[in-house]
Amino acid sequence: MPVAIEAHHISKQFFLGERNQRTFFEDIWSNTIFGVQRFLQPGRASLAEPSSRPSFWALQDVSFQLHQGETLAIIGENGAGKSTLLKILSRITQPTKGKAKVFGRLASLLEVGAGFHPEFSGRDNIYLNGTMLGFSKKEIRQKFDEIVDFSGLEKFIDVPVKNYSSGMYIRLAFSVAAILNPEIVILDEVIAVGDAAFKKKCFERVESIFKQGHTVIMVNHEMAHLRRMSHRCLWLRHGQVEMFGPTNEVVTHYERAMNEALDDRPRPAELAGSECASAFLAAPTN
Amino acid sequence: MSASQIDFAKPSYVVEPGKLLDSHPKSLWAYRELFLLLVKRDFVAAYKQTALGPFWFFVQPFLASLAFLVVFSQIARLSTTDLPPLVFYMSGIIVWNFFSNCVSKVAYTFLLNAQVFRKIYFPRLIMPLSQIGTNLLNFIPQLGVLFLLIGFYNLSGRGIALSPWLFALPLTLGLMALLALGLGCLIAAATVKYRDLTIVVGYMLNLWMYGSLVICPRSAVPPNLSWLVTLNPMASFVECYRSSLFGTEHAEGGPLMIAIAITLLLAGVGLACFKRSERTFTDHI
Repeated sequence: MPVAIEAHHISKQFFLGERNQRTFFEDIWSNTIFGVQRFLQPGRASLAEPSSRPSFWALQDVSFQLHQGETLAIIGENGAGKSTLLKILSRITQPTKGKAKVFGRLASLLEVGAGFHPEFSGRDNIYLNGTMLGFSKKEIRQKFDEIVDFSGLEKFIDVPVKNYSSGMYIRLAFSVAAILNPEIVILDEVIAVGDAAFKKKCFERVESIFKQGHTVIMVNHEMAHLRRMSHRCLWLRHGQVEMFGPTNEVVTHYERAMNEALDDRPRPAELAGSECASAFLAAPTN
Repeated sequence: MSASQIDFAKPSYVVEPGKLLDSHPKSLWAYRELFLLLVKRDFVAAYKQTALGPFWFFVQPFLASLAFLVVFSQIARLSTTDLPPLVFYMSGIIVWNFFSNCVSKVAYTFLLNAQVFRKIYFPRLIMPLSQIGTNLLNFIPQLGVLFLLIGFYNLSGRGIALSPWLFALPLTLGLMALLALGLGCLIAAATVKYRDLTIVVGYMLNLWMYGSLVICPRSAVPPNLSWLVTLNPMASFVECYRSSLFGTEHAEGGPLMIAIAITLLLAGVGLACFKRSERTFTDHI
């Protein structure tokens, strides 16, 4: 089975505070001071050196491999690095270390609506978004009716999307990506959008995407869904891979760890206000 | 490219630290349809839900030309070669608007598109290129109105001869567009760090116009300031543009060479900075 995604030792470092906070003149001033210091005392380390900036690693040494047609679930608490990993895989940003190879077009089903222009009709936006995802106009034209049909917005397709309700908007966005079907699909957070009927359609569509042999990455869904739908599971914790393997096994461990964490946590009633706050803040941040 | 057509031996793309994103002409060409849709979108969006609609393209240059007519021709008595002042100013204003809108729109690339860039990947350079395209599309009808004005003058007995160099017009516009792209990209890269730079750029563009032979020909520039005009690439391009329209001025070779050199340099530096910023700008903006 050919590989869809290969991630080798991906790490991502973010700098905290300072950067981008200074104005142009402050930058010039501090660089001048730094230059003069370096000139007068070449050996001395200065405050302006970037190494002294506080930083944290959002991802550390994440490696995994995903084959075509497989479904990967990424799980982990808030701040575990899930979105950062997806951003790196989709070329939105770059890793600080490591390397990833991606085979095929990759798109996130729910974030597609970001490219909509409010003044334009649903029709125009389908074309605009489709081409942003790397599809040709011809490919979009062929599937146009299917997209409109799936979204259930036939009557409103020539109305500017600024007049859509938020439900209609997200239905259109989902339909564009789900019907155009990039080779690698990211289902971020919730698959199901809109009302119950549309939710059901979404699930059926996602199942049919699975059946067509597309590669899917699912992030933070209900564990029951993950067990049923995904082959492999990547558990991230504080930016590191806690576990990678068959979904059932990883999810079982993950649920046990979550339950233990809940049990270990002191009951809120036992804590005074300040202790409660510090218990939250004490979570390790790497 | 359907699932069956993926080449499994070669990745579609590789993500690596420090690696510049793909802007090979071939991959930009693959997104040509997006380019065209964006041009159409911005062109049409400009006059949706407005009272005058596309007439805005003509109203603004006319009003500005009239203001120049009063201030620079009637009060300051600056020469406009043998051309009627209205034709001289209007030709200058529309081409300056083309250039300055290109620069300011391209400069906003990262600030205005952050939302989209954060969600969907496509070659970022498509955005600035589409802005240039939109402005070119805005310029063409304005040029049409200029020709109507010339026709009107000719009918009323004041003959205005068009230059045989008219074919060089696209070339001058191309050079201006390249200069605008380079400069705009450079500013766009800097806006990732200093967000208010675009405001400064707005003021600078306003000032720049007065030194770019829009309000008077080179012959009317005081000798002690002529070096400034020589070093200003836009002055040479505007002069070239006007001499390819009318026969009343002749572009000078020396300043033109300087202008082309500056343009190529700025385009190179601007694109390089843009490429450097586009890699991780979403982390900072």
